[in-house]
Amino acid sequence: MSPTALIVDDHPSFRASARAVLESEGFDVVGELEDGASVLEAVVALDPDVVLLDVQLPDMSGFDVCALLEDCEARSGRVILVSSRDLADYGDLVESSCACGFVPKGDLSGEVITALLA
Amino acid sequence: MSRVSISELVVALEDGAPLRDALASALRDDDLAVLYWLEERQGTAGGGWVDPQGHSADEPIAGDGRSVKLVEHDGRHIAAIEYDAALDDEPELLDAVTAAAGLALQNDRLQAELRAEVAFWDTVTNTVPSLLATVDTDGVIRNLNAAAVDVAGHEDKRDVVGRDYWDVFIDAWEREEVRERFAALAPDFPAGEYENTFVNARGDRRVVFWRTAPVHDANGDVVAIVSGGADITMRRKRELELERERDVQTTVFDSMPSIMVALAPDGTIRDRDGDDPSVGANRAFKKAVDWPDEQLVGRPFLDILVEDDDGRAARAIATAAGGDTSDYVESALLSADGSSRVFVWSAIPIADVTGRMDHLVLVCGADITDRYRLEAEQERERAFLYTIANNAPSLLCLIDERGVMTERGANIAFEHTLEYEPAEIGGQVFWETFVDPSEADDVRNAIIGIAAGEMPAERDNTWTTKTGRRLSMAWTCTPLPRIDERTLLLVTGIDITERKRVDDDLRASRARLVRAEETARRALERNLHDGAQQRLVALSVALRLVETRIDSDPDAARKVLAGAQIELGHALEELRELARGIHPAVLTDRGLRAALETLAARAPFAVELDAPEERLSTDVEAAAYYVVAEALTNVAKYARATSAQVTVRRDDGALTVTVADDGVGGADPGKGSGLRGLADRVAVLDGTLAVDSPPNGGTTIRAELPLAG
Repeated sequence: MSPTALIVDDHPSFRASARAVLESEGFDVVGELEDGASVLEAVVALDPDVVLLDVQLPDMSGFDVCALLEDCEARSGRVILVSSRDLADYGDLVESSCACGFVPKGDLSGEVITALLA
Repeated sequence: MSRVSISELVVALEDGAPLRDALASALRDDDLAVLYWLEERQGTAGGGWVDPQGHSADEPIAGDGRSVKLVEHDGRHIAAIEYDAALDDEPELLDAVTAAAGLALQNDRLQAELRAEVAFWDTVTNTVPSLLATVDTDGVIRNLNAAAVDVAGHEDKRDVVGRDYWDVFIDAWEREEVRERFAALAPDFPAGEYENTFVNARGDRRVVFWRTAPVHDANGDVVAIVSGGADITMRRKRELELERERDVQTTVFDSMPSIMVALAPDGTIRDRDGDDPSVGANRAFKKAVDWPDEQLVGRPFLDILVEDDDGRAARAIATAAGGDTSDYVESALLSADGSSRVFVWSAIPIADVTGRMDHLVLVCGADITDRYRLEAEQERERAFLYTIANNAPSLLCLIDERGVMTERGANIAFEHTLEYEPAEIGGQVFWETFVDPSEADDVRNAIIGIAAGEMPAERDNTWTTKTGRRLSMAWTCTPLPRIDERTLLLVTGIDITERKRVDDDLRASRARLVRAEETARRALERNLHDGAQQRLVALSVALRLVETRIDSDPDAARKVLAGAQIELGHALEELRELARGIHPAVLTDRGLRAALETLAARAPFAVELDAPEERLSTDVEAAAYYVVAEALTNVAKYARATSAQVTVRRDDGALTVTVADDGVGGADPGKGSGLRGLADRVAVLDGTLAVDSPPNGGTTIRAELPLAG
């Protein structure tokens, strides 16, 4: 059974690229979201294996969303933060969040995601 | 009782018995008295009766059992016999007795006369204050009167008579010399005058003035020398005292720093003394006016005054001539060399010690030339400081340590700036009247601290004007040197309200520029992030996809490549847009007019452009470009305009950029960061931005940019 993924990003072009890359590498993209407000509800409903979460969302930051998910009992999937910026731009924010990893958007591939989930 | 016979009387007289006793015995009348008539009685107006001893006697009058018989000779009274009236029964007896006594009576009368005369002179010499002494040719005192005895220091004449006069009236050290002088006068002993000082028998120092004259006998020989003298001890003492007093007065007179000059009541300058023709003025006067004495004595005092226009000097002298002290007068006195010095003087009536006039006028004064000069200098200095104070732009005022403003203790700037009249300022408590109530305590504490010795420092506080305007003042308070035990402090303030406003504006403008810059950077980052970067990320992912599929699914890979091509085109276009936003390349390469043409071409409404071709400084071109760009953006966003006019004019020293639209107007330059950002950008170049936007009247934005040089 293919691992399921939820993509949260306000840029449609990235969502499209990410879906193409993940699906070509065996992921089942179960949903796409363009802001942080609906993430919790979608995670409860879809229960994805991985949430690909953009750091710079229009309504809140990926770290804020992370904190929400951490408090959620229903969550079973893992969060991977993605950004067009470099990991160093965020200091220790990524480290101290509940996310299990960070991937620069340009480096996104199923292989990297699988490695982080392992 | 039987009468004495004539023969008995004659025998008695021949025996030398006193005539009265002989007569009393002959007539058997014990109370009988004989009086003699003296034709010239010394000390009285005419003749008079005396007793046989020469003492004055009352006129003999018959009565009370007594009778009087007058004895005459050659028709003149000689004597009167007062006898028992019972003898009147025997007139023959009386006549016989008086006839027998006739010669004796005559003789006795002469003796009485002599005695009377001696008694008179004795009385006179002993009662007059003058000294009288008779000295023989050997210098032995023969006689002297009571005054002379007293001067000699004795009580009794007998202690003195018979001694050499130099032993009595001359001090021991001088006796030999006097004795020799006396001997040298012999035998004529001419009349002379002497003054001598000696210590008498009582030890008193006496001064005697003697006048002597010789007494000659019938042969013309000198038998005695009579000396009349006067005790001048007191007078001499007084004279000495007076002399000493005059010496002291003269010394004081001459050593006084005040000028003094004696004038006759007519105002002419006096000499010093009858014996001293030098001017009656002290050294200070002579030194001050420097005239030769002969040019001053007799000259009217007013003559050496530079002027007496108001007649005050003349009045002062007249006042003193009238016996009163005058008021003070200030006069310049002329010196011989033509220079003058200023004196303050008064005229005082004084006694003339030389006794030549009732009184004199003493002009007594002090040289105030230096004080005058000093006062003039101080006055000039004061005027100078006053001018500075009143022309200074700073606010200046003087207060005491309780903060009370002194009368007229504020300069014009203070009055004008704080809107008070000069008369309203004195007496006000500085911090209560001129300082904003919320800061009065701060100011009061600062001033009291400085008055108590703290270091003055510049402070900023809010002062208030009379009409309640609040002024930002930078001020200091400095203690002045103490005068008359009074502490005065000088408060100096500068109205920095305008400067502060400009400063505040500048700060705000800078802050806005920094914020605008920050905002622009954020926008740029956001734009890069949201635009080109996302597209490049997508391209990167797409190329990886192509790589993984190019062998397994070449069609799909070709499709992804085509999409990537479009994506790349978008990315390039977005980057170009961004670059233009940062600084349009056309402005740098081809200038303002070309850049404005690009802006006009891209505007979604008609733009009429009128701009010169010439190149300007980079700053001015950029500012003008952004004014137009922002204005056109605003027109597109808010104005609902159909057209706009962009005009650029280069006038003398300034570039004027105008953007006018035909839209709805009502733009508020205070709102929205766009217009204010433009104003800031223009202000950096010392330019101005004006917005005219009446409702429904379109909007005109006009920027004036100074051109350097």
